[in-house]
Amino acid sequence: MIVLEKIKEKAKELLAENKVEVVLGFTRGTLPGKCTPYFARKVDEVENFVWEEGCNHNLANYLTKLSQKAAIIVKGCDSRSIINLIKENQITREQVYIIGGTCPSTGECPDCQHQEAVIADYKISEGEGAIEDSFQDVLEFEKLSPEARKEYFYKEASKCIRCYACRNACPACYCKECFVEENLPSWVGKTTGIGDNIIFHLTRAMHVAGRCIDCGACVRACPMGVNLSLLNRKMLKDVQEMFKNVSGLSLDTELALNEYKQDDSQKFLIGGE
Amino acid sequence: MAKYLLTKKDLLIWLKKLQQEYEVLAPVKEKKVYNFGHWDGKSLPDKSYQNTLKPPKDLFFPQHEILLKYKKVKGQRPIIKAADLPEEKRVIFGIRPCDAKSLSLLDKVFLGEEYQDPFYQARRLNTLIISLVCREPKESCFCTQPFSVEGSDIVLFELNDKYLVEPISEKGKNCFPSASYCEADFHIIDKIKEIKINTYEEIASADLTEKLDLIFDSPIWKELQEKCINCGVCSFLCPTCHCFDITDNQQGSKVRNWDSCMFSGFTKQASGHNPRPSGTERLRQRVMHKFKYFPDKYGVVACVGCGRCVEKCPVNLDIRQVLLQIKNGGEKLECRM
Repeated sequence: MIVLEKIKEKAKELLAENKVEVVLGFTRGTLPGKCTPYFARKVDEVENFVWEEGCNHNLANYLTKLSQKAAIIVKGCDSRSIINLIKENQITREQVYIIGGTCPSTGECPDCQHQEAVIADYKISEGEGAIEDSFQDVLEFEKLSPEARKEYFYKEASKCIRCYACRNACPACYCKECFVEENLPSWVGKTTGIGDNIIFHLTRAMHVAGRCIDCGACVRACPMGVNLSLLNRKMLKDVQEMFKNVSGLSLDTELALNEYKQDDSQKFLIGGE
Repeated sequence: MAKYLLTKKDLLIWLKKLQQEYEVLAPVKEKKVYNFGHWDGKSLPDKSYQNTLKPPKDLFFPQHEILLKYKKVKGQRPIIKAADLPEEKRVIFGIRPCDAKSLSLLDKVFLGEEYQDPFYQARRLNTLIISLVCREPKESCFCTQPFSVEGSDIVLFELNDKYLVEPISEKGKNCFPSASYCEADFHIIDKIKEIKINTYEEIASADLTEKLDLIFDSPIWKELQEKCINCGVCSFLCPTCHCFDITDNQQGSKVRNWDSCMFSGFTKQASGHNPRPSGTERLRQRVMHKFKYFPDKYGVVACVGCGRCVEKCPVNLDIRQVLLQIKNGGEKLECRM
């Protein structure tokens, strides 16, 4: 049976037996090659689901807003975000039924290690398993001079129009009130000057450090082509090296920055060991 | 109105001449996308140019603008100084008719009877708009008047290797040396009809405004907004969205920044109360403002069909689909490919 048929069959079963009130997936979008998030609440609506190239938005993002018991059709990155949301008490494991698949988009994310769902109540396809991240791009970037690295980040951040699509598309950005909205006093200016833009992006990168799973939703959401994934990937590499931790792989592991150990690496501190 | 036929060379000579007096802005390509920038004095937009990524509104209503500066001196009245008005004379060449029309809509807000914004006004008066009619619309376009001359001082049609030039406004007529060129005959003017246009029915029509009158409390808004992530892509890339926020910065300036009704802070009050607490109210506001409140006040919808919001929405929440669904009570727009 092809993957989509298995998805539909499961979704229909869950809705028909009232095990969930809504199934989150994708349907065909209005532009060629685009798919769009879709919420099926009735059995016959399940027919609108697709599972194909273009199903790339990170659907875990919607779980924090849903009050109903939901099923969600996930690929690798969505499933990893779900693990993090559960670990950070944003959702409960019981609240969500996970239909796990393998990412139908090909070639879009060259560094993806987990195309297959890492957690699922029902698995619809087997992928090729995890691939080790070599962080080749980060290693190359680290060789550049501080000036060259700064130039790169400034160039990317200068394109930003502060629409916050990156933040809003990110499942790790679930704060009820983001620091950019604080205004008594204001934490960061509202201009698109490089100073304000870089503070926004650097703070966001630090805030999702150890929680970002490199799904690329921020880069895909950006209308201006800002690409700061190198920054996120550098955080990922540092967390992996210093804390021997990769987030979003297991419900049994704490997120690196959510716990404290006596022998934690201090290398990230200025002058730290 | 009279139309003149210019060769590519004629056009370049004329633009070069304008460049002596004006800063000429044109669509400039950087990594596959176009935005308005300094014209290099030699190239004209090629077939890859459909429209600019950013709408032209920030050339008149910048995303960030200092309105006035103040200084407190102990024991004295504060010194307040308005910011200098922009004086640069500009030509915007190659703007699409939909975007030119958007300027005429912004004029209603910033140069209307109630309020006149001196900064916007200065820029509008100092800028000559030379629009270039589209040869082929994008998949996301849904304008219904591809030949609209509204907001343009001069309109250009591209015909093979030539350009048909039609001065529209007095300002346009004064800047175009019509005596140097021959008037085009009707055979050539007829060729304009061969320019391809999308065949969208008028999505934002009068019956939509009437319908919106009745559905303020409808559950449809909750359903329509469900996938919206409440970012500001649609409003910031919209040529007609014009909401802003005025704040003080720490250097003693009153500044105006673009704001978006999609943001939670947009309507948040000092008490902490927010009259638009969720995405449902926010999406409703954006649709209502464009297709109900704006027409109620100014007699025309605040959408020109440029399709930027359609193309760039991170979750493909398509405004055309939203409007059709409102109009037809649920019918969805099929992908046309």
